[in-house]
Amino acid sequence: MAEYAGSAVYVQWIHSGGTLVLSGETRTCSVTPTTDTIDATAGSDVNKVFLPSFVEWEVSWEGVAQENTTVATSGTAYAQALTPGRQGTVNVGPFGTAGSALKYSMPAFCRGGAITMPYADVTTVSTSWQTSSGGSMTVSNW
Amino acid sequence: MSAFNVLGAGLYSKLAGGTALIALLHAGSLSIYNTDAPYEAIYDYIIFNVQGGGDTNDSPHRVKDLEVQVRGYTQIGMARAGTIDMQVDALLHRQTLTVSGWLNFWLVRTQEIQLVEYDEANHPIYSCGGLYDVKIEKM
Repeated sequence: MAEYAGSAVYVQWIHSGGTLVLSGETRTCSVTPTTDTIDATAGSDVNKVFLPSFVEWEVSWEGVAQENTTVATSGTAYAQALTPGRQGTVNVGPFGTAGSALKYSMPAFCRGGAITMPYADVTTVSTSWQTSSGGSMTVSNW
Repeated sequence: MSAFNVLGAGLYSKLAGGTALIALLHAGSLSIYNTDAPYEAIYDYIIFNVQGGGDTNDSPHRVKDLEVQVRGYTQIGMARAGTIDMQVDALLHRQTLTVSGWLNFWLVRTQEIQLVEYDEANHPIYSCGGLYDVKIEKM
């Protein structure tokens, strides 16, 4: 058993304009499922009763912007790839892409790329993807 | 090559290129020292050194966020030390260093230093300077 750091993460956004691999610029990435619940409390229940309902998944990512290079977050390609509503598939490998490593994959739309420019720190880019068209997250291996 | 070495070379080059600064120093650009001045070095001179900081380790990119101290030393008086410091400030604050193999993307003054020390003969040595935040990324 071995722990591993977030630096092992692999993040890939496959969209109609190409494939964007964001791992090299990553500062943080998260995969977050949320589940709506149905309140089924009734009658003589002493404690509240909930049933699981609709599920949604969100992948969020933040990394550093670059310029005068050919990495993923330089130039204009990444900004175009992260336009709001763009459809595609987002893949995340928390431990990279080794054959047995965990892989999250889901059809998604991008919620838009945000860029933050603090005066005294590096410019960062962040975005998130949400499950699209009733699709779900697939949890498998690479 | 060590980041210390290339950063030192970049700092020296930037300071030595300041005509108004080196005109204030005893031996011009030869009066700019990295880390320490030689025994019995003649005033006025400058010493710079890396004071702290290190790798940020917050992305796959190799980025160092360093504190660099630059101080002018003189026996003339604090006003003279301040004049030397003013020239250093003009060369460094919000300027860019050329650091071989690295990109300097941030350089600002962050703290002020002013003090008087005394040599063995009880002569005052005035110094004035600052700490500079230097951020460099491995290219």
